[in-house]
Amino acid sequence: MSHLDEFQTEMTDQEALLKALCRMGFTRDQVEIHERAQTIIGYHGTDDHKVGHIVIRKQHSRIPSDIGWEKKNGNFVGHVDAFDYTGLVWRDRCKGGVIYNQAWNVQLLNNYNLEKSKMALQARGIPCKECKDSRGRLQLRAIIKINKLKTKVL
Amino acid sequence: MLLNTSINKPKQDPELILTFDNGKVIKETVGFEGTDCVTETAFIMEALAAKGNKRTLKAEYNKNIKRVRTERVKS
Repeated sequence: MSHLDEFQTEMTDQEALLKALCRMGFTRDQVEIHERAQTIIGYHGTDDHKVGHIVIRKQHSRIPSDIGWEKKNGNFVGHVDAFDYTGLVWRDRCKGGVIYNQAWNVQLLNNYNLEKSKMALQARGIPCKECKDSRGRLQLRAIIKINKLKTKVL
Repeated sequence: MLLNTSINKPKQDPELILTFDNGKVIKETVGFEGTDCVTETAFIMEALAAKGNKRTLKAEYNKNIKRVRTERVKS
């Protein structure tokens, strides 16, 4: 009658990741999409040997560095972790800056999961409703129509 | 004297509720019959590339849909 599962996910879908980034405040034209991974320029313009298939350059990232996601074995791996411990400094120095810390990454993953779920439901023609639960968590609700037609062998 | 009373509750449409919490997904299914709650919603886990560490928090299968309440009535 009822079932409750909890599971972790991986970011594998480019379109869902782009939609999630839009939810995080970026516009589509601020996000670069590359077939071949491009260098992510670090602080002071240095090349930290990091590359990304999806890149947001520093003029849009609101920090003095690019951020990006590299597709590795089918999963998008973010190169934004370096700002975990310096986030507060950036916030103080750059007005309107963003703290790319663990909480930001978790929020991005939540948005990715929501967008990917929406896409999966829409692909099956299942309407869904986005809302928040009593704890303020993002939620998606959908009524599933079950087709119980059985084939009779004559 | 024992009296059997069938309760005809209005049938609830099967609902899938996904909650996005702390980077994880909580999948709740309500109003399904039997194992439909697992089979009819498996596509979501596939789409989300669910990792192996799935944790089942609650599982209540209802194979017998008709509920019967037994009441003791004073004669």
